Amino acid sequence: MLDQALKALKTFDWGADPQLVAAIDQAIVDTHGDVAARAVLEAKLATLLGEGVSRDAADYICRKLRVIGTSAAVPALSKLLVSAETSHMARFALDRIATPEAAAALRKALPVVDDTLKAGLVSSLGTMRDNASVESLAELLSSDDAMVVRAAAKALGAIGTSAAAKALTDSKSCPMVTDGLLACAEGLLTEGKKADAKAVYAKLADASQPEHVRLAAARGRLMCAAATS
Amino acid sequence: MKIVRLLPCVVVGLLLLSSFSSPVAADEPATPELVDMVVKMFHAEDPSVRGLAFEQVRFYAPGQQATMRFASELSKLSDDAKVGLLRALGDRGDKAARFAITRMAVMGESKPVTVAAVRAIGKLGEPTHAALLVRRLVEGTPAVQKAARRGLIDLSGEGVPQAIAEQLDNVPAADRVTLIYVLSDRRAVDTVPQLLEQSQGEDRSVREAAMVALGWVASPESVSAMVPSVLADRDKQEIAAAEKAIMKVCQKIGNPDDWARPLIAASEKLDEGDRLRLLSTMGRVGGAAALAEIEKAIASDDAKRHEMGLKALSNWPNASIATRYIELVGSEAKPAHQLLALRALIRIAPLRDRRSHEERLELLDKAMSLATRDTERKLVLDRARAVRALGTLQFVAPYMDDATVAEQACLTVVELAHHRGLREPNKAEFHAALDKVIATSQDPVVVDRARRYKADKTWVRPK
Amino acid sequence: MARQSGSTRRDFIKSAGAATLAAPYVLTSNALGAGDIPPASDRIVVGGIGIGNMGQGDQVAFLRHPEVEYVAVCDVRTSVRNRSKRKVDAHNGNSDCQAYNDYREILERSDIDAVHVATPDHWHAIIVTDACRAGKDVYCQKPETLTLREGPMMIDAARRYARVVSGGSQRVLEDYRRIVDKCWGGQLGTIQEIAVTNLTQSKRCNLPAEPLDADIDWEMWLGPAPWAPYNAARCSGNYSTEGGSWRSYNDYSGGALTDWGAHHFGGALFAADVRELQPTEVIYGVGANGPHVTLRFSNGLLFHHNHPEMAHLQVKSDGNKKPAKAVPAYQGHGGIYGDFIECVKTRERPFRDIELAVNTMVVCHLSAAAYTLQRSLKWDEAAQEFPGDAEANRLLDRARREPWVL
Repeated sequence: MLDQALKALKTFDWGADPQLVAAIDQAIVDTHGDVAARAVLEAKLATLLGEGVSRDAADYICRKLRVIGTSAAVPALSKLLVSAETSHMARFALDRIATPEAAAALRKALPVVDDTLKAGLVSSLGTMRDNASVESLAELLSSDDAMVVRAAAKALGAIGTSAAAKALTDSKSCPMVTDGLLACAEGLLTEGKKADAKAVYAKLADASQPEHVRLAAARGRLMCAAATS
Repeated sequence: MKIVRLLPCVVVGLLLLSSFSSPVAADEPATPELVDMVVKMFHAEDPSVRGLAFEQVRFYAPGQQATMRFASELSKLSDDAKVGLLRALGDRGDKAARFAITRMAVMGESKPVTVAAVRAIGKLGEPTHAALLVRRLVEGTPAVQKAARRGLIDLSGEGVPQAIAEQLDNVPAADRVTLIYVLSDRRAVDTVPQLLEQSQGEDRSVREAAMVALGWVASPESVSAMVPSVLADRDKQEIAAAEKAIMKVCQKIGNPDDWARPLIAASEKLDEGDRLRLLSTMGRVGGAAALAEIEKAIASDDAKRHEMGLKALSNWPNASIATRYIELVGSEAKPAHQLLALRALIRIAPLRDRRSHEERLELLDKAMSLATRDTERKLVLDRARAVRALGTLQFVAPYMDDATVAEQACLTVVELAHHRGLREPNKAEFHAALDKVIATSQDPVVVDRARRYKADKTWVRPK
Repeated sequence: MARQSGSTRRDFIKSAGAATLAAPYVLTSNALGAGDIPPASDRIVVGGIGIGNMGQGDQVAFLRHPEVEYVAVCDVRTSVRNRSKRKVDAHNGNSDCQAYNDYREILERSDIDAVHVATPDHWHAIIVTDACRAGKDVYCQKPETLTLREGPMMIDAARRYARVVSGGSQRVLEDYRRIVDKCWGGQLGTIQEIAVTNLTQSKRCNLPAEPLDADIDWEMWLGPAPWAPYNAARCSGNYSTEGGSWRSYNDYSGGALTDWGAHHFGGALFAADVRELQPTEVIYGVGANGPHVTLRFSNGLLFHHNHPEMAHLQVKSDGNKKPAKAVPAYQGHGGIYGDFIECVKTRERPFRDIELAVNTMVVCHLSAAAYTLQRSLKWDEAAQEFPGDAEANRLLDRARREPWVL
């Protein structure tokens, strides 16, 4: 059954009966806890990805690798990152695999993709809270593409370190940069860096900021006041 | 009234003293820095900033000391800020704020402040505060009355229902009705004796409220004490409402076949005339035991008893006796009795229960075939709207060609079309039927609705 | 009417109102309030995002409120937004309502106080969080989330910017009142178990490509969801959850399990008074009628879905009577919409505060995860993950299609 389903994937396309590949879904359930069997299944799916299957089949495989993929699948997935048709679904898997190898693959693809795909890669690096990307992300804050800036600011906010906060503080203001800064301040406060957090809130409390940002800063200062350390 | 009148001097003093016995908040207390900042923000002009401070009061700045500090700020604030803080302190739930809040509820500085204070008392008060809230209910403006009513519902602690019930005879009838509904909303089972007493009072509105409350609060053991309300010499509507209350209590029994048992037990203590009159309630309650009693009456040779049985059966709450109705339409000698059974059939046919749409429609179809007058045929078409299915449209649509009932059929078609979830998946069928409505109906509202539904527009039912 | 430094729009209008003696021509009669129309300082300027089926209903509900000044609509279907604009214009008696294809344009408008969101579910989290970042209060239709990770992000955004964010299940308080009253009335004692039945999961959509309908901006409709070819059944807004509508497919919806789960689960959780809690585990089982799950809460409550022996909304309790608790009520007038509007004014949390709505969604999503993986799972509320279960944690979220960011 499984082999038939894997074979069906080679010609699988939109409009095909999903039952043709249902055995793969069941195999994922059945191999729970069986590392060896999962590795075999992962390898078979990754191999298929490299054989030029349809966009729909690649989509299906990436969804499965999202659940069972490991660093072993990263090479096959990383090849898809640079294509507009498959980049998202490759991230669909890589973003949840989230190993150092997966993050490295995303970072490697960053300089060679267009702005739209870049926003996606950056978003996934943010989801992984990839500290090693802070410098690249900081550079992207000055991108001409608003969506890239949003993604970079959001990712830096998720990473939430002092370095991330500094990069955001130094960049041009926009709602997502502000949001990133607020997220960083919350992260700093959680780490006990109350003074650093206060500095961020003080900057955002400025009268030139919109009302809701000043409210957010006021709330941040309340959180600082509530912190005992 | 007497207890209420004593409040300003003595009772309020006691209430204020009792505020100090509140529990200490369990969480780690808020830092003094936080409390200072929050208090400062109470005075902000911007309501959003104040809202941020009140959010802290509600959720993030624990501790009794903090509560006392927040509450002590009340008197220094603008009315708007007072209202916000009172509401926040109420939600905070720390009874250490009672002292300041009670003062605000009693002094009545301004309407909004009093309203907020009264609501907060409901959340923070104890049984002794019931009298204060009742006083506000009796003497306040409509907004304060509403707040006091809610406050009485919110008020927690053992003995609150009794404290409220004790006030029943001290307030005017209109307020007594409110208090009875408060007890009902509180599901105050311990106050059943007082509610039973009120159900036999002189004021109709009070009696009706008490029966409604008993419907929610009483247990089947209290049914015999509720029975006098359906036997008393009162108008039909009041009797019907009392019957519904008894029905509600009887239906708290797990096994439907036993629903009428408390009534049967009660009827054994009644004379023949009252026993006959109680059949109507039994019919409304339903269940095997009731059916047996009612069938005995229907089988009687005594014309009055027979008729009372038929009327009782026509009250039946579900479709389980549909075939019996059909049988009676055919077997009853008097046209009025035939009509009684037919109308009951039309009423129960579309009731929502475990029957499929098809089964419900089948009964309506049967009723249509039994109807000899346009009045009942129109009733069938009207009731059909309760069966939201394509089959209903197919059942109703042909009657648009029958001039005597066409207008009612058109109305039912638009009522069905009103439901987008039914209309959308069956667009073709509905468009054809709506075209027919547009061509047939003389009612401009019905035609307008048909056009709207065809164009996928909504229609707002006038209130 | 842009928000001014140091004050809200409504405060600004109040100040302007004070100056009307000197310059009455500055303000329209609407701004000062006329007849039943409240003055602008008490009005809430609203826009609608996603105004097809449910959005249309929400819009009607908001238009009924005299405090609401409805000024903008947004939908990726041209016919829908044009129809909606006409409706709003007819209601307002002018032609001022602006129609947008891209929600970001509504959020950029500084005069708008609040938005209601009724897009397909895969857009909810992005729009709600973006709206909070733009300083808007939000009424979001249920199901509020599509993944477990989205919930905390929506709550964070609401709290971070002190926004009023209400979930959109009106049924939680209105349709289940009987069972809520029964449970809160105290006569049953402590509720130990409650059951909900018969809600199915969404599936992957593999419908074939159809010629693109010029009425729809397909890229924008898909938004953060994986790319797929246009098919009318894929994006239909009808209420089916068993095929032929976006509610049936897992890129856009959790199926009936979330679509109706938001109502049923929400009502049952409210009845059992655990709406402020999240479960600690979900236990998977297979009975005579197929799979079922039980979610266990820290207070001991067992919440069943498709329990083989319990009926829908059936309750089991210890029978030890206890005092009744007051059932929370909406604020303001006009049901859940009035509650939201009132809270926009008072800055308090609405009845269906996003945190409570998310707690319900967590129950739906945990059930879905157990059905998908066909096994029991533990849940750590504080960490918002399945502890020590790497495989299940893969299901917490999904990457969004570029360039969309949550």
